[in-house]
Amino acid sequence: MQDNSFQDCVKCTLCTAYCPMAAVNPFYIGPKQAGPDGERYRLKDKAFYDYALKYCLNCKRCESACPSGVRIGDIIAKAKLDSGQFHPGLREMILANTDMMGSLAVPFSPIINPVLKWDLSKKMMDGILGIDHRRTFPAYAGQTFVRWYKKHAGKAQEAFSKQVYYFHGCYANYNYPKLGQDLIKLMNACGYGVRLLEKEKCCGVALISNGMGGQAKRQARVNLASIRKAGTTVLTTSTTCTMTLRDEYPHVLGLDNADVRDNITLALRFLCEKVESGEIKLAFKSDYRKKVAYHTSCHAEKQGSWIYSLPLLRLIPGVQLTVLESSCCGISGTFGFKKENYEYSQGIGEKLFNNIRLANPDYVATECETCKWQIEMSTGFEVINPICLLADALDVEATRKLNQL
Amino acid sequence: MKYDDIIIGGGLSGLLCAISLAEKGRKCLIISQGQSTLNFSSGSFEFINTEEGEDFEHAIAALPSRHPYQKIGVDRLPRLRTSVAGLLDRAGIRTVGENERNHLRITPFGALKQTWLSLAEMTHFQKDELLGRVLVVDIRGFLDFNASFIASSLGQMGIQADTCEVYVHETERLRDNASEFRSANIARVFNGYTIDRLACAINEKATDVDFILLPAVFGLDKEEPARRMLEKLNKPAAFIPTMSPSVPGIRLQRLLKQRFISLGGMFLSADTVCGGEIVDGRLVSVRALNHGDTRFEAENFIFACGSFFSNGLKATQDKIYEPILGLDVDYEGGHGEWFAPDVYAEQPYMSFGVRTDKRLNVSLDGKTLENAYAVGQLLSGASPIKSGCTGGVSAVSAVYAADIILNQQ
Repeated sequence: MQDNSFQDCVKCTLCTAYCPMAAVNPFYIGPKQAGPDGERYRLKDKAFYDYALKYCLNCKRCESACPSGVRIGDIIAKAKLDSGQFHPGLREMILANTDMMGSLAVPFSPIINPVLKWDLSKKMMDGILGIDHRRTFPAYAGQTFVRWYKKHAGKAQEAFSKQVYYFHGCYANYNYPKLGQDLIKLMNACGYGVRLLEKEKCCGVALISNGMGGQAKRQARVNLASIRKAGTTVLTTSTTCTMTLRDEYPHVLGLDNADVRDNITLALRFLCEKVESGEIKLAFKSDYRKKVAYHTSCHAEKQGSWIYSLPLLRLIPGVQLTVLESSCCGISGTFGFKKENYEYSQGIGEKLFNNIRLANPDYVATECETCKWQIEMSTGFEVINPICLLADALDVEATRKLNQL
Repeated sequence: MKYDDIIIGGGLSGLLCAISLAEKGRKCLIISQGQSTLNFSSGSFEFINTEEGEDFEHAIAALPSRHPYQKIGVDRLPRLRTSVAGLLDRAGIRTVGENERNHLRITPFGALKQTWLSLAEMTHFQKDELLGRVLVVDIRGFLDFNASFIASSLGQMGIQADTCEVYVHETERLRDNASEFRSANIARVFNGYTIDRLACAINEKATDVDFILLPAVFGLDKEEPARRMLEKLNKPAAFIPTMSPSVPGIRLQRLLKQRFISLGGMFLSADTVCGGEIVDGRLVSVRALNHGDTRFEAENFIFACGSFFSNGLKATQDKIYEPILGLDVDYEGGHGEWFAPDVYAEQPYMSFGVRTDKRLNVSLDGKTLENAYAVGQLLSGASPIKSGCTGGVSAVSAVYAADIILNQQ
């Protein structure tokens, strides 16, 4: 599939002006040159500008800025996969194979979590793998979300007349099952049963950015087949998984998902629309009081999904909400873990970190898990997915009553 | 999703309209398809070209009745101009300029141009205020600002102008990537300490001059670096816009957006409105590409989508159309008549735009949509480059549409 949108580029360079990486890295030629400019040359030779492609964060802020509708980020992502110059090493395999690493780590999480915190192991990962020793790894869960679901929740879901599916993603499954549990708590209180897809693989975003296009495609096909089989709404809780499933599959991997794209939706959008139309009602605890600063992750900005998060957070009477200026936190998934990128990563995030410190909230709310790791590590403020915040503040009994359960 | 007002387009007109509405407590959503042409701004807003010493009123009286100023009503314009200045001021944008007449600014080509409002840091003076002996400062390696070009243009006007080239080691480092040695990248380098060092370098060379002119590459996020630069220089100084992207323009965009958001406004930055639903002569909702079947409902819709560059208008070989709803468009003749052969002549296509009535209501197949308005460069009837009314039309039409909406409440 040839994407010809690069021909719409009028060379205004606004993408480069708004690129968080170009702002901190003078060696990055910027999205205009790496993307649409380079694409012309790459028609002749795929090797053009390939040294620059590794700096792209895939944050899509270039696309959000482009006045001419050029899919700059997609062009770069595709060029990276097609160039043949990116040979993933051991580090890339480890960082990008979230399913494999998660499945291996969860059973041993009581050992692995403390070991990942040791200075010695951090130094070793730095020296041997090139994973920066200053990085904090997210902890692995004691049991996966899927296992918990099968044991404790699966059966109960059948009782609901209305059903939705849930694409949990790697983070909810291996690192933070509470996110999935909270979604089920919310949906159940509103009268919806939550089912899991027949088969779910990692969405593949990290595989795409680490040059493993073949594996990303295989996993994408599994996911699309399951989503087709579900035949109804599939909720998500991560902005990045959502963007990958909806937009990267067709734009970068060349897999047509037009028949199911609109079925895939952030749970926050689903809830917000149902609340606005009066179809479901939410009641919150009267004693829940939190100062919350909302961070618009890059992929929330690109998809505009924050317009559903803010009204929901504003529904909670005890939440005092500040909206932070939308800017990149700098981690960009696996990018910030790599030793050579650490300084860039922290430099990009500095503006956001300062704004968070100024807001001084109880929680930073965002739907992106890697933003969470980055912000928690860099500022010490606790970061929470709006789904968890809603679930924590929810008065379950009152909500059930309002929804006539 | 329900809002009071939905504004399609997040440039100067969209933002000013939205801010006017949000200041009165209305719940507004802006849907913008990427960044706007405000990012290429000269740092000044024109209103209308006038004869020397003439005020706006006379020049406007001579405009054809199809011009947006005439539709809005000549009597209303002074008050609307005051409103615009107030909106900018409350967004933290300091401007200079009189309400009734033009001042002059210097263009990137060294020409003098009439203009209505300028950012306080940009060049602004009256015809009789000669600059004296001028030093035009260039930054070494920067290709989007041509100091000798400017100096020679000023020289032709009898102003004695010299040039000099300065640098700090941070700008030298940027030259490694010569093709991206652009205004926005340079602006990122100049914060407190770097500004002071650059000012020192300029002061050394500006011993024998009365006025210093610099490229506008200071203050991407806020005005402070630009102000600091001027304060650190030993002589009076001002900025001239560079080739795009425009640093003052990017800042304008950011400050207006921030103002809108601080008033509770919602700004969708990267979406395309792709259709709407019309019931009984009213537009009730629109859809956007990223949001599937979500209906964005509002009492009023403001089309502030810009002209051809911003995709507010589209042209094929045989027609010109408005891509969202196919609103009625004013244009004449066939493809061959849309362009004048002389590129510097008044170009017919520039005055093409969406048809509106005097209340700026748009129409579809001849039927007025009573709750949908067009503002800014999307409007037909102006010939913005020829008559020098780009910024003025964008700004006053936006505030006028907001007034109409507010007066209905």
